[in-house]
Amino acid sequence: MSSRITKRNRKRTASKQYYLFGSIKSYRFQKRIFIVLFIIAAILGTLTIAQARGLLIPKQPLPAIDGNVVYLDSLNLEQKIGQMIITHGGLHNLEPWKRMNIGGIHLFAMAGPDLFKETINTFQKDMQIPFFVTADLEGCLSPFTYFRNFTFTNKIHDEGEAFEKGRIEGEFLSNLGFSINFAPVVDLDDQIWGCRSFPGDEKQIAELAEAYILGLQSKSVLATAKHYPGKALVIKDPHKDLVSASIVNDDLYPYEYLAENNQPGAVMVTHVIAFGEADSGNVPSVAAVPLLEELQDNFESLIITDDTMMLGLRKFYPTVDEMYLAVFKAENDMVINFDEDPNEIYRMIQIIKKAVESGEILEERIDNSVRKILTAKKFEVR
Amino acid sequence: MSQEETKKKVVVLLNFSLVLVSSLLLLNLFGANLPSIGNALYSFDPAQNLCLIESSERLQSLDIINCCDMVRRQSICIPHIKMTAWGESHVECSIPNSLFSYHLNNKAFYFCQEEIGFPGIR
Repeated sequence: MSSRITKRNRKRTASKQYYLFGSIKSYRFQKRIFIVLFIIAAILGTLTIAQARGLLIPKQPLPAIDGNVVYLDSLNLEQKIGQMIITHGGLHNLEPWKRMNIGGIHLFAMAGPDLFKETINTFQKDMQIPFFVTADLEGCLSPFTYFRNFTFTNKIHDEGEAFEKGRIEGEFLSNLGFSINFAPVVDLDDQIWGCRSFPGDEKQIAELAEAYILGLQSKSVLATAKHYPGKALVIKDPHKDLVSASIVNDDLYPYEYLAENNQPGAVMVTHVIAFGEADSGNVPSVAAVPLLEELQDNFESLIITDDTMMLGLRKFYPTVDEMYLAVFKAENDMVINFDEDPNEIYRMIQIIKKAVESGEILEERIDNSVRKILTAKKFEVR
Repeated sequence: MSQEETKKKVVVLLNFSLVLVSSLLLLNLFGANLPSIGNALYSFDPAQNLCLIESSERLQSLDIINCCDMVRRQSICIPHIKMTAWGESHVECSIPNSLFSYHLNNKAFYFCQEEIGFPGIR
């Protein structure tokens, strides 16, 4: 009897020891797994943050620049495409924009002039090819309203006033470090804001725009006549993403006048589907090859797209990739993309690079635009 | 339950959490778009996008595309949540020293935020 009890007790003690030992072993095992998983999560977390900040985007090599001379062949294809892009110049994307050799940055509103200056200086620091720095100072719509007001465009009635407006705005922008202003608006009618266009008929608008351009460019800030071919500021059906507009000769007059007289530094093309005197062939004007070819023939100016982040344009194409290809295939020199994700901008560069490598887009066409951009940045291109 | 046993359970729980976090991080790293509660709420909101531009002279409707774009470009806009006379809340983006202000209903505000983001809004 007593031996049976002793046996049972021994068995109990053994199973208790086994249970405890197994538990400790399992706990140690789980602890090891925890350490491995923690390391994996930490690595993935670091990679995710680095990716979100665009730090995984490869840094481009330095182009060969000798004084004021840029050797075009020293820029690789990615750098050339990068030069053709204007992004939003948020300081959070400073590093990726520099890594990709982006051509231009656009600044939205800030609270004071010092903030603008600091941002621009930070971007331009150590850049062999400086960024274009662009703004939308159109008189009534301005990113500077926190600290400075300008005469409204619709209040300008003669060429002297227009020149003075251009000169004052040019001096102001130049002092802050801007190089391109996306103005003047030469659309004949502004039904939405009522103040972005000059008053008068097409002839008056063309002359006032020319005077403004002369004033602005006298201070080394490039002007941008927009939005080709016209009717970009008419009231649209709020339920439609992209509208079409009938373009008449009067809409085109300011462009014809400026092409023959004093050309602006740039012309911006709208997303509106145009028909009539300017026909975009049922695609957005910004992707209409014949329209853009004609513009390139008539202007030495940089041809710039309106923001490709605008939903109307994006929704016209089945995929964003197709939209990217369409605007690069058309002869736009610079493409505005205010997407805040640097990886998306890098992806756009890769899509265009592949299209060039496959012959879908000619490298010569890319070279022509980059040559124009670098020349506008005061380089001699060889 | 022994102390060892409790510890083990805590570590197992932590391990499960880490596996979940790592999977999400991995998906995010490879560009998978993870759905959010905000997107779901937006999708189920039956209202129409509404954006009004107000100047000293007039109040008019603006198409949502232009609305998102202009509010973003003039990103000094400071959103104020206001109630309309008919009792709906909407977002007012007023611009200091400017004649303009934008009024977006919640659907329009979230639409713009989701589609293009409002980086400069304070």
